Amino acid sequence: MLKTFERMSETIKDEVYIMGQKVVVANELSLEAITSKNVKLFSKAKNELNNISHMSNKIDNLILRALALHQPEAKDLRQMVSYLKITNEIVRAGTNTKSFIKNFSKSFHKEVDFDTIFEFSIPLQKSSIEAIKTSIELVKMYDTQEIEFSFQKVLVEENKTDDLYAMIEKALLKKLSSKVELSKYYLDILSSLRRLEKVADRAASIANLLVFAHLGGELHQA
Amino acid sequence: MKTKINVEDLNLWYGSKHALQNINIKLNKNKITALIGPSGCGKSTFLRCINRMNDLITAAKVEGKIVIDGKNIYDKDVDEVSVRKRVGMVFQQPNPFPKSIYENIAYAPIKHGLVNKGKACDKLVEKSLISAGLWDEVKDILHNPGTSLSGGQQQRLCIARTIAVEPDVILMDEPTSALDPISTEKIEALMLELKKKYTIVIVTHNMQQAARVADYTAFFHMGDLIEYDETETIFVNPKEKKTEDYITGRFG
Amino acid sequence: MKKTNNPFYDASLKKRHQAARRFKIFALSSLITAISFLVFFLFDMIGKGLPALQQTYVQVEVTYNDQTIKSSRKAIDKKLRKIVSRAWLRGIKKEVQNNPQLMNTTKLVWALADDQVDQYIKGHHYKLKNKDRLIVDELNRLNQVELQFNSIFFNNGDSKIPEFAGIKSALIGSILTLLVTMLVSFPIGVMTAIYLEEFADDNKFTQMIEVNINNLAAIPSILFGLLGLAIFINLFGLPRSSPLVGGLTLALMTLPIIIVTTRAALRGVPDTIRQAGYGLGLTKIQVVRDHVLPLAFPGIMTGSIIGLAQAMGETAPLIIVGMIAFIPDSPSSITQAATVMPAQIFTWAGMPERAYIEKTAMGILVLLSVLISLNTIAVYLRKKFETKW
Repeated sequence: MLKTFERMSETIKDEVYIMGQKVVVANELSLEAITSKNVKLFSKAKNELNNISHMSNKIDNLILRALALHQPEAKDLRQMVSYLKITNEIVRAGTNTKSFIKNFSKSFHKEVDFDTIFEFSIPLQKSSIEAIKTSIELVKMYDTQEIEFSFQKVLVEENKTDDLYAMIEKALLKKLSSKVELSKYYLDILSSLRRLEKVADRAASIANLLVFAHLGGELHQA
Repeated sequence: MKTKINVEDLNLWYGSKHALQNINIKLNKNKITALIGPSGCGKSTFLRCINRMNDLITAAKVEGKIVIDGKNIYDKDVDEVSVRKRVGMVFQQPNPFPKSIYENIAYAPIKHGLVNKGKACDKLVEKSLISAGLWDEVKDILHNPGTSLSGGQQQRLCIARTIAVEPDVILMDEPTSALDPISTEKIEALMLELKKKYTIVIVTHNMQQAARVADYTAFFHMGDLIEYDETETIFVNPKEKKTEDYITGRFG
Repeated sequence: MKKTNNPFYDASLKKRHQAARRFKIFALSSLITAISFLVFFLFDMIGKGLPALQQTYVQVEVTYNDQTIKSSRKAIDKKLRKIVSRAWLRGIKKEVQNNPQLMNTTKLVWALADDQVDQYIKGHHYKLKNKDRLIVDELNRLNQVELQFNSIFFNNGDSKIPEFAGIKSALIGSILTLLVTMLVSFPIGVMTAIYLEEFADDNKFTQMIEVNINNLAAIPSILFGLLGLAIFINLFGLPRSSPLVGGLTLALMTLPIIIVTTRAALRGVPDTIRQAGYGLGLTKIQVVRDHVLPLAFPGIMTGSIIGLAQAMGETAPLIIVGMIAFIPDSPSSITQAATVMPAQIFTWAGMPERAYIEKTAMGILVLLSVLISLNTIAVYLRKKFETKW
């Protein structure tokens, strides 16, 4: 492998990681905002995600350049194509995170039963964070066993979010039916929590793509 | 970006055939410039103008200027032999002299008066072989014939021989087209190292090679320079349709 | 070839193979014919020439004293005079000078027999009178007739007396002539070829020279003899019959061949070597002298040696410059009169005495051996220098 391609490859990998980390950090900040009841952290979290599109374009152009100049094959090709799709996924995860923050902050009303909500939403958020964090860590992994282990972890967390969301949905719909005037707030909360579940979905997609990159197989939508 | 070679209105005729038409191009210092184009487009002919090798062909007539370091090499007071000392050339077919590895490298520098026989010469041979990435493989067999090496090694020997005369510019005429992929890769990596010290101009019919190693690429077609730009632009966003057709394999 | 189930079956193959076989047989029979001519020739020559390696000696009493030294035919018994070689008897004087003890003695020595006795002993046609023949038979019965190795053939020059004729002077003459030829034609030929191939421009003038040189190689050699006569003998006044003139004439003849083969050898050097040399900023002389010539050398060597071997066998031009003369003594310098082996053979072939037949054949064999060894040297040199590249 020529040094120039090696350097390009490393740069792209690093940039993807950095971009992914921004989404992770944004989610972690929003969790902290909720647990420490500090609304300011929500805007800090949003700020993390400011330049995500710009970063995605930058990485996409780097990948285009690498493909044009070096015609990679096999693992190198799979990596380039995976990263190209991953930038998309990360942008969407970022968008989902922003939506969560927006909708959740809208829903603050003293009559809403946040205790019940937090019982489910905090584990959901934690699972979601775990999923996205692990999937971004996969970018830097090399060992096959480590990769497979982490991949399974992401899938497990993603399943957890599905289950947790189902439970929350049931609980909140019940609450909805009993207190109709609060329905707007409960619906906002529900849709924001759905966004968290989507972040976990994106994490699973990213993990799938990275497994494809490292280990081979076929590209398929997760 | 410093210009090392400034080509102005270069025209070349082979007898009555107008082989190069009004070439104007500035080749940059310590960069690799690739010349690409279909067979017969004049890229090799142009390359051979830069070290006046075309002077050896009686039917070739050159007009125009090639200015290197401020002096037009086609001026009447410039000896073609001295041009070739500053502008070295590596050929498509590895062509070591039928002498030992040591003598292959030592012959020209001694004749040019750069070193005398003995320790100074030994050092020069070692330095050249190290720069060409061949020292470790041949340091114990310096007195074996140059032709006993493999194809890839022979080509690196030719590169060592060229840099032993301390040129500024290295011209390469399809240097890896006769070699296998591993040797090709070694030489491409070598080129990336060499550009730190030398200005390199390479003719290649393998576009992907130009994409991999060159900083700038010039596309020639039927004696004309169609497009000259940074390699990334040529391969991602070529401005001329002819360039794009060639790159995408629509012709040539 | 089965027709069924055989995807490789081809109906026309049988005829094509037969045609190939016929062609092969035809080529082989041509080769056999050529070889049989050669074998027949060799057998004939060897058969005729081998007897020349031996000479008949008879054991007789020879008296050494003042009288016999002056009049050598008195040194032996009168009836043996037709049997012992007259020329050998003349050598008595020298023998006594070398060995003074022989003076005033009568010894039983092995004397060289007359050429007719030699012919008789060897079973060829002879011209002995009956009484002489009876004497020889008597000597033979007493084991006083012997065939000994013919060192005379290799130690003497030509002689009108057959038993005393040898090839030495012709051999030396050949060597001296060849030396002159080599020293003149090799440098001039090689340099000319180098100039034409590496330095001359490719224009009409050069092409004309090239055509003319090629034509010169095909001119009948006798014309070179006339040229040599006109220039070297008449114009320059060089001594006639000398190896100098002969060598110069042969040099003229060999020059085109050397030029042509040297050019071919130079062309055989791949152009990539020259390109590499020029690419390094070397001058033309450096490229030609240090890189092209060493590579072309085997070819030049081979071509030159073959040209010289050809020159060695040339007779016609040398006849014109006079080297056909009767030369009994070996020449000691290139300006003395000499003859060459082919000319000597020609002379012997025209002598009336039968004894010369075997000498002619032997001379041919000696010439052939020299030519074969020259060609072998050419092959050896080529192989030796070829491995370097």
